[in-house]
Amino acid sequence: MGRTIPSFRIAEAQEAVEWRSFRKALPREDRTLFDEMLGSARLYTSASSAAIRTSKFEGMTMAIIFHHYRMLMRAVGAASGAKPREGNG
Amino acid sequence: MRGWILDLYPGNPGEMVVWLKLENGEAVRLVDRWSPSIYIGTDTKSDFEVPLQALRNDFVWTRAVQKRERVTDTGESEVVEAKLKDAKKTQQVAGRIERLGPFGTFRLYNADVPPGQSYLYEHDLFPLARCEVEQDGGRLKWELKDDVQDYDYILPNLRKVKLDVEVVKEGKLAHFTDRIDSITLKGDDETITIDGRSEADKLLGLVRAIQDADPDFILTRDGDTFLFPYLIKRAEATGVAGRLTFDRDGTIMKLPSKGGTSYFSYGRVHYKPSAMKLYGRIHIDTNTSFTYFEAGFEGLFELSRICRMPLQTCSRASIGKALSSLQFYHASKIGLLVPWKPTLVEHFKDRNELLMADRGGFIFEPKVGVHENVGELDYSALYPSIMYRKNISAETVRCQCCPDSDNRVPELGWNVCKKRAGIVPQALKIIVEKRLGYKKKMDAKGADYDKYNERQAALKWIGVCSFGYLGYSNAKFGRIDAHIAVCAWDRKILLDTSRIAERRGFEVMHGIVDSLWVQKEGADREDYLELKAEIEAETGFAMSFEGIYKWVAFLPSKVEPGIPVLNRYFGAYQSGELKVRGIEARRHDTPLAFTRCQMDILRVLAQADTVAEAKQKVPECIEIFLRYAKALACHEVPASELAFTTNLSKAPEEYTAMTVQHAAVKQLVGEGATLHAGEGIRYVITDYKGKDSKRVAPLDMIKDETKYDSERYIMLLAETCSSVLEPFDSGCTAAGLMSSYEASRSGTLD
Repeated sequence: MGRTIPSFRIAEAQEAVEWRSFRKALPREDRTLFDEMLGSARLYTSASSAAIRTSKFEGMTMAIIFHHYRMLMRAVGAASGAKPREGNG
Repeated sequence: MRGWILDLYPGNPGEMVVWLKLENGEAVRLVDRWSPSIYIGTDTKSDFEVPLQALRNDFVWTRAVQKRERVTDTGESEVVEAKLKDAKKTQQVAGRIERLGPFGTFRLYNADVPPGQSYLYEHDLFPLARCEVEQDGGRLKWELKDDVQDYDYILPNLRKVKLDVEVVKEGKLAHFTDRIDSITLKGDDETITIDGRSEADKLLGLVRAIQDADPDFILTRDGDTFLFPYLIKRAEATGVAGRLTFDRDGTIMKLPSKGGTSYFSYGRVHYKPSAMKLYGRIHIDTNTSFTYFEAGFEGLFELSRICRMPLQTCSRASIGKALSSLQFYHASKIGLLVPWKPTLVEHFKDRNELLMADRGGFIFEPKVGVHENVGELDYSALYPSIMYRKNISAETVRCQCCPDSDNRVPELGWNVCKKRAGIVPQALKIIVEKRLGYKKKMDAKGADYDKYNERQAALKWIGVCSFGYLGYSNAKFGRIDAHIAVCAWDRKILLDTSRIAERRGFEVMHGIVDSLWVQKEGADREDYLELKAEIEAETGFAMSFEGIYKWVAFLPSKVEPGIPVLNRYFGAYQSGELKVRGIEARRHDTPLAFTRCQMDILRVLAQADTVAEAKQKVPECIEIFLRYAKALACHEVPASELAFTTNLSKAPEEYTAMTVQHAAVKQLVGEGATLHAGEGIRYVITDYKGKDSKRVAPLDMIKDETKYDSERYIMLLAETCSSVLEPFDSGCTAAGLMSSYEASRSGTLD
């Protein structure tokens, strides 16, 4: 018995490994950015797991898009002088 | 005759020996004419004839009986009960029956239930139960004067001694060929040192001393792995092996016929040595007894009573084995047989259902950083409570009899039986209720606080283990669907809890399975208690309010800064009490000196009421680091406090690269030590950059003049200190602390 499907935390790490060739083709400074982007998906692992998608990439992508949206809203809020909404990241 | 059941085990074929501890302190050996039964099931009645004929000489009698064969069966079916002549041959007989036909022809039950436990289940007795017993011919007639549900049960005065042996080491490690220096037997009132002229005198002196002291318990350190085997070997070497007896039965001590076993559990390899059991006395190896280590004597007594396992077996059993025994007892009460080789498989699930089902408990990623005024709320024994309250068991989840049950698993919609209580909830009832009872008694903070605390600690471990056991492949009454159902309930409960908190204006800072950290500006204790009450009312599960943190740090990953990691945090409650999880000071493999240094720093930080105040304390904390670092540089820290602890992940011959672990193993094996995968070793780093096995020194081989690699230890100490200082000062990385150390060193030299 035991688990058949790996936890989303493990699946995310596996997905990052699968994008190794993409990462390798990037210039050095972009490789760091790429790592940070993939890392931002880890801020929402529980939500990605709860989404129950057959492709782990979908959960990660939604997490990255959402994180970018939040960062964007925070930047917009900061630029307009409004108090930023708090959260992870 | 009135007394307490101290020990029991099969004696001659057809006999069960029971030791009764009388009220006057005497221990009496009683013999009951009894042997256990195994049960045989087949699809075709005529098949029964084959084993009954082939093994007729092994059975006292056989008869057809009605029993529940499988945990999922709603009714009984006909099986053959075979009363064995010799309790010690149960599994051997079962194996012979199994081999009489293709696998599955003969279904065997109760074949691996230890005879002592079967006797207790059958007679509704338990170890340390107060009883009245009458000898009636060859049989014992028991009358129970005790109740396993009781909290304040009376126990006899039990005599305990600690046995220790000093060895004259010829090499760096103690060997079976080394002579005995002295033997000590330490009781409550006196310590006896046995140092006769010859080794044989010493051994026979020990035999006599034990006979005179007549203890009920003999405690040793490494008695299973070294001390008793060593005494046996010395007795053989000195010609007194035939007189070496330490138990009440007069049994001559012998080396076990089987070696220990290595096994894999939760990502680690463990080693379980063979037991050196005594008869009529209880030998506890304090180094290998999990229950004794975690819950002391009172915890062992409680577990042994509730799970109906002989004390000596219980002291060595894993918590899973103890839980199984409790389940077997309940199974015996409802006529359910215990399968020798369980074949219950999980229900079929398609891909989508599997994706939805096969997930763990809920987690809210922690908000990395240091936060003020965070409150912590924990569910009390959530998983066992879910199993007990929601009737989660292998046979109840997706049962055939209640497709329209209103007890349904969240998200998955699976039905749960309404007609009968599952075997797992039945077994857990006493654990959940008694632990709660002991905790209530502890609230009075009376004279028995420690006793109740040890007992509840033992029960806690049963609760912890019960969830994992539902999904364990070797569990007799486990099924992954039940395991999945518990996780689904957990996710619902934690999500509901967070919504209630948010509704009341709290922000969720972190959540793991059954614990939630929430924050609200200006919230005081009353606000948190109101929140707790509302959560309990809505979810129906009990919570405890752990307190409000003056500050709490949720730590990021060491590899990926900014990414939160679960269960790695530390904080100071308003009471000043520290809570520390997942950092070095909590890890069992961290050297003692590092733990002490990190805790010294945390105690200084705990004096601060705010994060700003804690930041002001950082220079004082850096001074603590420097003090420890300088002590390391001057070799003032004893090497024994710098030992790393690790479990061998493989057998010694399987190591290839010269890692520090391999270096320690190589030296130990070179000195004649026998090591197995899963065994723990302790070592000190002596030359980290070295290439050969001299990189480390095993702790057992350290001499006063052994010099450790202080440079390496200072670097590791800096890493340990940075774990708790960096959240308050970004300059306090390991490199930053090393710079402070270098600066202070050059300052000292100037």
